[in-house]
Amino acid sequence: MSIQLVVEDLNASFDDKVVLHDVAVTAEKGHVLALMGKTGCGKSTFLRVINRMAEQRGAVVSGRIMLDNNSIFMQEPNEIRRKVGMVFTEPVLFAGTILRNITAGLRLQGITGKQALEERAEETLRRMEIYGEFRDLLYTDAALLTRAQAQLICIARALALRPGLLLLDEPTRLLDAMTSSKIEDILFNLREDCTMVMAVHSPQMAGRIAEETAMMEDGTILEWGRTSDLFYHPKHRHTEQFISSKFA
Amino acid sequence: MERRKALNSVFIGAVLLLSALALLTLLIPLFHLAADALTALLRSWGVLPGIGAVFLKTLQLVLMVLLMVLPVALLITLWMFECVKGATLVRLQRFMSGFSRIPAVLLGLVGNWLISGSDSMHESLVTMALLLAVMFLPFMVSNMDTALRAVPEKYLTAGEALSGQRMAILRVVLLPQAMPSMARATLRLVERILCEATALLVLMGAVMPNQVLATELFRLAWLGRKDAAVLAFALAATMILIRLRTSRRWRSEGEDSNCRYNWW
Repeated sequence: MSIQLVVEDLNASFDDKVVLHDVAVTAEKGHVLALMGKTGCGKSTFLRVINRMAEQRGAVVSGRIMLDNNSIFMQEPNEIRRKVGMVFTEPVLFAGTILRNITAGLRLQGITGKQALEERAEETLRRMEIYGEFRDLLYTDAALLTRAQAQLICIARALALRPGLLLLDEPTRLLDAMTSSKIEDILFNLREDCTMVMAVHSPQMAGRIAEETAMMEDGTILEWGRTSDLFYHPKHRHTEQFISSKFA
Repeated sequence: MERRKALNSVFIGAVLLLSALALLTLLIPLFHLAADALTALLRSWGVLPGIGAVFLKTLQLVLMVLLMVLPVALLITLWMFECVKGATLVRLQRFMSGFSRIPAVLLGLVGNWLISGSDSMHESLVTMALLLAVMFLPFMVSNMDTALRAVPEKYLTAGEALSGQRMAILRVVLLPQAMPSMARATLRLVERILCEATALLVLMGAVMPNQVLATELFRLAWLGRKDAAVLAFALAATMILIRLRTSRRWRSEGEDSNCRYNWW
């Protein structure tokens, strides 16, 4: 089941250096929210604050982050991460087979039954409509996969825990255009099952798959709203420049 | 709070170490029993004359040292990885590194002094295995620690993002990732066990009731007989073949040998 994310007055700092300030944005259930902005503007930090990984690295966070009206700060970080999956820019595959990678999250929860793991892996791959591609490769060493396949498996690994919210940190930045397009299609079709917040490296990607888009600059959100409104009627010069690819 | 955490960590570490030592103490009589039973059985079948016995005893010694060293080394490595931080960690790593450089002669002498007066200890393969275990434990801890710390941070981050608890991440993500390096370290340990003659010769003194490959090689060379020299050459060739095999299979290009006595 997808989750609604509401962020209000969010501030975060590392060693007195403010990295996010007064961030306020909402991702509706089953929607894709794209975060645009220059490198270093705070997109990745924002994602890591939502699943409380930034705090573990020493960030001081204040403000309100609500998942379906429940504050994340009232829940254990691991409890949050069961509901909130994350995919990184660089696909990180663990040692072992593809099946072991897809079910790594479950094994980390202590689920070890072979049949249960196989069933969940199959269900996840079917949801992503890539079961045919990986059906005969489940017991293959994951190290043999291409970067594009590895990223697909990383997405599957995050989805295998059935999260209500998926955070994606520029998941296609290191991939070619054709593979990016395939991953975008897969993500687009998964919106029903989980809300997504995605840091994007190009405005085109936001334009293709996001219902809402936020423009970030120096740790704050300059503006956010429906993607079409933001693209056709940007209020800030920076947004206009980014969309017209002067920055992107 | 921090102090209590540190105390807890030390306590857990001590308990794990003591448990491992207790388990080791319980296992030693079993080693004795198994080794004696196997030797007696093979002798009764008449398959243990001469060099066959040397090979069998070498195999027994290698297995015994591995059984003693690997679990304890793994436990100490995990304890160091999880509980020891900062300056204490650096001191501990330096200690391990320093201990693994203690000359074999010195360790052999200490062992000899400890078992002096006990004939059964002098004749036991377990005594030899214990000496080698003590000798190679820091080497193995050092290697396992390096292997575990060499796993890039991104694997830990990915494990955390999958809502894993720290120990679960260690078991499911980090250890399998470090496993090839640990396997290489284990093979280097086997090489060092096979190479080690000095410590064993000093430990047992003039009487060597249990000959293993390295000491047999020494004895045959010492005899100065032509047939003995041929056999010594054959044994040396066997060990070189083992080393070549492990080098090709497990060692990356240009990696230094950790064998105390290089064969070439």
